[in-house]
Amino acid sequence: MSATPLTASVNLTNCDREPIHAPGSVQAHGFLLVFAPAPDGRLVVDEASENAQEWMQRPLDSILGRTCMELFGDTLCAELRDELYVRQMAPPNHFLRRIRLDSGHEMEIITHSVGHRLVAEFERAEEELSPERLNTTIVNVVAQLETIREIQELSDAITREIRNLTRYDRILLYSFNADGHGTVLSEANSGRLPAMLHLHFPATDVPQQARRLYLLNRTRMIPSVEYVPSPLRARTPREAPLDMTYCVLRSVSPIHRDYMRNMGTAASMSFSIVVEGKLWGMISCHHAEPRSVPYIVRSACDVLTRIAAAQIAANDRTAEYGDTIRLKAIERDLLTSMALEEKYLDGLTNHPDKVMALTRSAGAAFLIDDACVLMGETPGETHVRAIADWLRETGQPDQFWTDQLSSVYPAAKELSNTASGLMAISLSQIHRFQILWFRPEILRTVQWAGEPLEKTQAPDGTLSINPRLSFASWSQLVERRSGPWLAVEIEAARDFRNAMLLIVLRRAEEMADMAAELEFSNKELEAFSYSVSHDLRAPFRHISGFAELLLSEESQQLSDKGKRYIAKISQSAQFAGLLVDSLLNFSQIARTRLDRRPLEMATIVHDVWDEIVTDELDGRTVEFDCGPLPTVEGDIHLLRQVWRNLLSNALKYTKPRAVARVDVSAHRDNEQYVFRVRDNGVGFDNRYAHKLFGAFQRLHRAEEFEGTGIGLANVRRIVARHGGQTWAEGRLDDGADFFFTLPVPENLPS
Amino acid sequence: MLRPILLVEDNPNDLELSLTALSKSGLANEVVIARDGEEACDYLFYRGRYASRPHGNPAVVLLDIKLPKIDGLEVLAMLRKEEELRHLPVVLLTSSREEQDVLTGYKLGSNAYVVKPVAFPDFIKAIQDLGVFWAVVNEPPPMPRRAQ
Repeated sequence: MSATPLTASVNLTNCDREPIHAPGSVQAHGFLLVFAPAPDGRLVVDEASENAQEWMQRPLDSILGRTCMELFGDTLCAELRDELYVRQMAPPNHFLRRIRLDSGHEMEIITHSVGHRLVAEFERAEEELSPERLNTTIVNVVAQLETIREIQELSDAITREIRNLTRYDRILLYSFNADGHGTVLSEANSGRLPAMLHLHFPATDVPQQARRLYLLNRTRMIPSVEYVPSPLRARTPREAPLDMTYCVLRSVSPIHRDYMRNMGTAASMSFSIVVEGKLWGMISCHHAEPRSVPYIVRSACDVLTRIAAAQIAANDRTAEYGDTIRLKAIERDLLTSMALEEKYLDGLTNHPDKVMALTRSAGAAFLIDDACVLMGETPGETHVRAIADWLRETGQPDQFWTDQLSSVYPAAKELSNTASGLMAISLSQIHRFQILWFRPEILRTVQWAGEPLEKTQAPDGTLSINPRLSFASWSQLVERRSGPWLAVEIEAARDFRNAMLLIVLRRAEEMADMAAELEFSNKELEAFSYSVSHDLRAPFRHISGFAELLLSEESQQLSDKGKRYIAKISQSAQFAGLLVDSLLNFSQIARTRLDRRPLEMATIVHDVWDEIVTDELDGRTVEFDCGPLPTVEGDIHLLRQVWRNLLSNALKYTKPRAVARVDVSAHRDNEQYVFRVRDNGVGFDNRYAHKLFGAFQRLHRAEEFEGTGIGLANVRRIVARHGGQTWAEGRLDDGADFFFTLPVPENLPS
Repeated sequence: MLRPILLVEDNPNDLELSLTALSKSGLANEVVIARDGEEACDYLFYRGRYASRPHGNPAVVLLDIKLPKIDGLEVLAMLRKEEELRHLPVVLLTSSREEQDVLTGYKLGSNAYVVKPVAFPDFIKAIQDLGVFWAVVNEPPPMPRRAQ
């Protein structure tokens, strides 16, 4: 880099790669010497900038390789040794003192060490500022800053004071946003340079390696943009150029000098605002003519800047704590209401305001399995589902956020009024459990200092950027962007996700416990009915058995009345036995697992009818008609019971008819089939229709029609287990219709 | 000589009714009564008071499921393990309509499963049919020789 061209076109990529910390040359307002300890302990000049010969009025070869003692005498030599050996752990660089060279130049010596070598920079001395004035300024500023709470006020004060100290024409304080763009927050201006307050600087104006450098060395001064760089010369060739990170005379990038020329500033100086280890912003000082200020003034400005940075950090932290506490309170409220609701998700869906407030969003959506609940201002459900699918399919992390959804998800371009910003959390990779928060577009006009995207594309396709020629304000409408997601909001969503995970896990455990308990009580119920079926049937069997024996073996001893009584005892015992069997069957329906298969209903109906008719017809005339019946899905044993009950009922209650009619038919009603059994029997009073399907409910006297009264209860239970309904319509002495429905099977054609 | 019917029944009422039913069926087979699972095993395995009974299996075992000490299903499992008793006709005779019992019974190798009907005429009929089928109609499997 010794032959640095004065102008250069550098492309974006090599701009970021340019080793600006080791340019191999110094600016013209001073010279640099590197001292290395010789084996005998004396400090020898190891490297020197070429311009040392002019400043020292001494040829370069009588500088390089010479001892410190030869060049500067005892006193300074001892001081420089101290710098190297005593102050090794000192801050970046250190002001040693003023010196008058033999050549007559008045210089200030600034030193720092690089490895075991000492870098001594000799900077042209300016008129001295009285320490009293400096001290007064600093004390004033500190006193002021202590009372200031607003960042704006703070930056105004700091720019004003720095202008007072430096007398530069224009002082700008700008901060960087998350994208690296700078915004001018404050300006103090003599009026000789154009105002730049509120303008934005694109991130590319401060390349990455410059940002790193500004973190390490927080001050930088270029007294005259038109300086002639002076290259460094080494006594013996060196492997790597000198690391000039902490140098005050470090020559700057030619791009930067072009940039300054284009901006119309002859001199510049800057101070880094570092907040919590990050480059928060910069204070830039510009002057229309060449200008410099002594090291001590720059130090004072740096101190002021550091004080301001500390204040900004404190302000940020206070604001952040306040936000955190507010959002934590909302999270706590939400979790409490989740805990109170039986279905914990209701605790969220019933409090849409709080859900949205948690991340300060305008809309939110829950997507859990197949369900999608929207609240506030969101895109339509189809779009929300598509966004949620996109998050899952593209393997986005469990927490995702953007303030410009359309930049990663182009379909969101149409949704900017609801979904310019998106925050999403996902609780599970396996099951869908997503919460999405939406923010609308905030249209903003950004005043750029010049066109920010003034790039040219080279024929080979690489993008190149030239230092901008124009800093005339250029306004841009920022579209499809929401307000940025703040760290506290991102954290709130993350904390909420973790809390939800805990709740969901705990609920899952509770469900598992409940399932275990349910299984236990099912087991108990089974044991109970087992015991009933064994132990309750036996005594009825014995009563009936011995009564029969009495009747058959001892009948000659019994009066007719006695025989009748015994017959009644026997019948009652048998009926009781029948009831026990019916009850057992009834409870078994609830306990048996459904074995669902596709079933041809017509086949079942005809089979069952044939069975019943063989058993019960007794020479009656019965007309039976069965219309076309659909294929359904169900448990064949249970559905056979349904038909057996309905058809034998029809047969039973048509007994008084000379010609009994039983009709079976079915039709489709939306997603279900409706089956009907119609008879022309004795019917029933429709006022009692609702009682028909209860267990042991009968609408007829026992002696009229036999039965235990459990048949229709079984029908209802079986149909309900298949997801259908049952009802009946009766006309007293004029027949009855019994209906039940079954869902249309999903996979079968209608 | 006709081989006996082994009736395993603990309930005195059921015992009496079953015996009545069997006597009404006109079967000439002797009926050996065991009042619990242990007694049934004693008989079948020549133990206890049956230690010195003449060698030979019954024509059929009418075996109640719910029995004191060793229940009917356990008895069934034990005798099916014995080479000599593997093919002995066993009819499970029970109050229970529980599917579980029926399944277990068949799995363990019962030859029939009869739920005692509450109505006595049905009961008599069931017992008679069983007795006749297993004691008379059904040719019992040949007796394997006892391994010495």
